[in-house]
Amino acid sequence: MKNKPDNFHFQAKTALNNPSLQQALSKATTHILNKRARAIQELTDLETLRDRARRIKEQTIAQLNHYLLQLESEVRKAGGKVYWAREARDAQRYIAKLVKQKKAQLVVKGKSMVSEEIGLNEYLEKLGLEVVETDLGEYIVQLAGERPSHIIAPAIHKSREEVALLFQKKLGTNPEAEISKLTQVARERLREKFFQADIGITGANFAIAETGTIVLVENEGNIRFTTSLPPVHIVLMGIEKVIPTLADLVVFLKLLPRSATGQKLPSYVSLITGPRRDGEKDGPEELHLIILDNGRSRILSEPALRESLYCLRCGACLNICPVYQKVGGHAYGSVYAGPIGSVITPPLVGLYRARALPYASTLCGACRDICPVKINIPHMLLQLRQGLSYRWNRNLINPGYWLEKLLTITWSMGMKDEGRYRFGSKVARLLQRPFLKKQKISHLPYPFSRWTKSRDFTPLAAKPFRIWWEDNQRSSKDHERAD
Amino acid sequence: MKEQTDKTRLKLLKRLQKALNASPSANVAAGPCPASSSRACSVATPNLIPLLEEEITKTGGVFYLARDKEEIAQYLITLAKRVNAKTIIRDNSILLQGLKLDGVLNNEGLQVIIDYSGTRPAKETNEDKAAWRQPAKDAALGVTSIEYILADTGTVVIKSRPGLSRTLSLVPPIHVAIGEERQILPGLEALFSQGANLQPGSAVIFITGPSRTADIEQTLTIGVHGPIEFHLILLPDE
Amino acid sequence: MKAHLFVTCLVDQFFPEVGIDLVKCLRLAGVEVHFLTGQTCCGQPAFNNGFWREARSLAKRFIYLFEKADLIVIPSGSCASMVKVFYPVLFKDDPILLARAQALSQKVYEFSEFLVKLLGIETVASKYTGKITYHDSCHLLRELKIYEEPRKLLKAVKGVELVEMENSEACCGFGGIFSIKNSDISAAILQEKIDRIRATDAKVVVANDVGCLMHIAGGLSRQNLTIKTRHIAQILAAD
Ligand code: SF4
Repeated sequence: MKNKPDNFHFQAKTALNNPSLQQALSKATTHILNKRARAIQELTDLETLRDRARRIKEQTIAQLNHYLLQLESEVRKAGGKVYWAREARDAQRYIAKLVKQKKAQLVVKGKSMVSEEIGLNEYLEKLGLEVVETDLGEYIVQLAGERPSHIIAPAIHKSREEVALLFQKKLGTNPEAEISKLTQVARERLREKFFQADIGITGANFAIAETGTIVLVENEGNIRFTTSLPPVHIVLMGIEKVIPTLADLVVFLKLLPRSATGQKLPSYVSLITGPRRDGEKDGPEELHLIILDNGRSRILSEPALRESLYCLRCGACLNICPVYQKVGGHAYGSVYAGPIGSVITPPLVGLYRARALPYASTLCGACRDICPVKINIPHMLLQLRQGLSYRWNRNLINPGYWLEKLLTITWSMGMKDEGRYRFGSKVARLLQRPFLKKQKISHLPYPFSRWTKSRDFTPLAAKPFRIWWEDNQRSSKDHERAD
Repeated sequence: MKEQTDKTRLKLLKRLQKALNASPSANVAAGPCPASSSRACSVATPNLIPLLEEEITKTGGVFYLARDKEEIAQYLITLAKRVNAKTIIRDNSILLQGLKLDGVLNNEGLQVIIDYSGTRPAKETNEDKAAWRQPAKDAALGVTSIEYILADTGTVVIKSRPGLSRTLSLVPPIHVAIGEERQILPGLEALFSQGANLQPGSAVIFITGPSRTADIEQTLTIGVHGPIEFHLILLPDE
Repeated sequence: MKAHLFVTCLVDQFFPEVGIDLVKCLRLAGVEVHFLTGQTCCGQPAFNNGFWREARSLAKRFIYLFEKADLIVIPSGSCASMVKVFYPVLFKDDPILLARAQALSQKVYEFSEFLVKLLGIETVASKYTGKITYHDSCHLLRELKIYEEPRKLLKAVKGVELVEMENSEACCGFGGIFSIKNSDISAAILQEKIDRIRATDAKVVVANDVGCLMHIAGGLSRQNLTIKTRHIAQILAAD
């Protein structure tokens, strides 16, 4: 069964009860965070860089049409083709047509979140194609029939033993759990695929409007293979990936790798402008750029959510998030996990379907502090929660919703008037009595039982502070009088 | 394949415009973006070689400062012997031609393939296609010239062109880049301030160290798809 | 100097002793403390849970009540952020109330911020012997950017040995409604916090927010641990 955003609570629980996952997550997130901290420290002008990156994104997105049109014309000038896809199926169909025309049988892919988003692998497999993920992490996840659980480290949830077993089962290799051996297996298996592939599909980290250049950042070399060997290269990019000029790239190249993997620069940055030129021996004969909306314009039209389009997909907010650290990527049931995923999944799949995600956060704000473009994730989560709380029509048969609403309204009535507040606090003291044992409350009725399941609850004090204050005032007045 | 009909394209553009109008960018600061403080230094750059060496070493690459051209051939021979290489592929750049490597290497029993720069036939058979790639596949060493060197990240920048294929620095298990001291720039800023030089070229690749991954348990492993070793041999200016 | 104290509903109802110590600290610092008995809650629980209509009505009430005050001191990072940061968000489509909320937000200080930034207090007269460790409450740290102030104050207390726990800036897992809606995750995050507190060997964990303290205390008590939780005012008022 595939994980779904509607199932967050169940999926989270499954993750919490999986000790090997817990261990893998804690090890991996700590490790990446440490590496990032070291790399970020080297930037003496970090805050200026972050501001600059944010400004570039802000200004580009504010004139998105202009820059996308410029990108389109530059890509065409360089000999590439451009296709505008409004929905996932537009992109799917375009690729399907291309596959048919080229009589393609084998597709190799470099890591692309967008292709996950539009379910491209399943779609192409249904058409009878062999689709091979070539990023090591993605390859592992694909062999396991799973989804990536992290933007940067797709197989973050798997231990080396699990990978060895998987390789043994699917590839018939020795069950040796040595990481370098496992890597070697992937190298050999995939090398042949690169040479045989008819089409290579990648995402884009950035697209430069001024020059029509696609920028791809990676460490393994699989993206270089994917963009160099197959005769056709398809780039799938979301509308938000465009930036104005090559000069703008500097700031992102300084921030992205540091935030993502704690590197100054990754092993390979490819700047690809059009298909191969005359006389060049390799590189694709055709380059197709697919510019995909698929719900992004909904985010664009929502002022409170717009800044989520500035995301560089560095994954730092996932690593630092206390919730992600505990539940991992699969629990979210969405292609985009973690804090930023909880913001963009609702507008992409529908607010009601993803209704648990905006609440899957303590609002601690660590994501905003670590984000290279300072995206205010907690504030957007609050906005989404607000959007959900008044959807009574969607919640008609959801008793939890009505209970919450009733409690909130009763509570806020009590808080709105001093007399009611005092009365309410007396009633509450009466109500807590049966639960009070040895100055502790260890059991409460639903929904508060959720708290007392693992924690004690502090009982209401015998007398509120205000009573003390009033007594204190009175006695000091008496005092004054007595003087 | 036919270009997209204007209708669907315009529909999407219209949709975007509507979204943009629905949410006017009130909070977008006008004016140019704040400049980064670490500008490319225009003053005489200090000796960047020690920094370069340090950075390349950090990324797991090998840096070698050659005293003269003759040393380069020697370096390649030692390297090839260490890995039992039979075949070396190199680009056809003026720099590499000028090094007159081929004869010396041949004398040591090493075959040298020079990357081909002719035009490919319009209608290629699968055998043709395979044939184009075979040389790089057979070679144990790919030797290339480079465009720029970035000292503060230990990066080399390569532009693909006829005679310098993308596969040369990608397919052989060892990539040896040969650069000259004058190609060294302090870092990314300096490079992009000469932005025009990155164009045209179907692919400009920044290479920093060997291929690596940390996809299993966040454990660094060298050489997953690309080269397992990366060497930069630097020729000092005369 | 005159200051109004907004003790927060949690202190009022659950931790009156914190309120008493707050008054003591402020008076020792020479502040004339005022307390409006009309005060209830700032509206944060409703706001965080998405019920902005209800939150707005409580926010309005707060604004009306405290508008005339010159200074408002709040012993909680999250309630202070609610007033300073989120009231303007709540009223962003109502220019009149927005202006009033913004004016009010200028006058609001979190307790430790008030003592250090506004009063410039560097020494305190209190004594408290023993190892303590400090937990950074999320809103205090990341909405209000208060990191140094409480540490300065704690270090100034005679006899205190402040031991930093590993990753003191990590959330304790409370998150208000989160602790109920996602109770299992919340408990798992709390466990990590408790482990880190225990590793310091401190007998007391201090924070500037009774919300976090209530959560941490709940976990400590369930696990029969004797480590105590204290609001910073309780340390500053100890003698
Ligand atoms: S929201 Fe920020 S931190 Fe999170 S992935 Fe995007 S850019 Fe990185």
